[in-house]
Amino acid sequence: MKILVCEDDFMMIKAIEHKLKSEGYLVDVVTDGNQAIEKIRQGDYALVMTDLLMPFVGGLELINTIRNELLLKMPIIVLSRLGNEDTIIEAFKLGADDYITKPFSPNEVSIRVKRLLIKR
Amino acid sequence: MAVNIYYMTETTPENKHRSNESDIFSESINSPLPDLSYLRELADGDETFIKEIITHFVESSPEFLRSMKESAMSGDHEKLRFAAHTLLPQLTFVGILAAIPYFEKIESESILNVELIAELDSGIKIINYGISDLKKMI
Repeated sequence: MKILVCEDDFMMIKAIEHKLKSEGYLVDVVTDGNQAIEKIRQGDYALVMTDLLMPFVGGLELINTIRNELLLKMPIIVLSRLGNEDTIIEAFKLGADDYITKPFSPNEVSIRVKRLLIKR
Repeated sequence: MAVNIYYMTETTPENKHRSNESDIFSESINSPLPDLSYLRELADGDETFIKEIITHFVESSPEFLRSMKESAMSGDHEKLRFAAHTLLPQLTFVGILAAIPYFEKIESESILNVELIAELDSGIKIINYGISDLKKMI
């Protein structure tokens, strides 16, 4: 199964990539929302994980595009730091399915991804 | 919340002492050694991954911190806030936990346009100590 990770921080990318690949997922990484939209148009992703604060197109805009323009229903997990509660609520309103607080517990990513993919 | 769990469970005796100080923002020179327990748990035995993360931090941080200092000096509070926001998870990755309260303060208060250079200098000092220790680990 293929997962798209949209995140602009090198360490966070490496950490998520490492964890997901060790679980057997195929992982594509992009560093801004524009790239994510392009990738999503081209590929069949089972799940998208996205940061909220990114250059060019941010996480909220990305979620909005996925749900309301591309009309796709794959699960979306928001990656966020503590203290961004209002933005997380906004992300849920736009169609996000779950969120993970950075820095995440190592097993949290795999548990949440599995849970959403089972539901799918 | 994961962040709280990690901040608490990775507290070393030195960190614990630090967190009990009456004034957490007082000058702190005796920074504890980086605590790599989070990174080791994440790496799950992959030493190459650990080295890659540490090397990236050691190589990228000096320029990043220089840029933060410039932002603080020029009063670019939004840039400073965003930089602190980016740096905070990285500090957990490389276990420089003693610097976290300084950058949390910068992240939360820079929006108020208050003077944060003292906090930034203290945080940078701790990170630089941490980098010296991290260099010995790679």
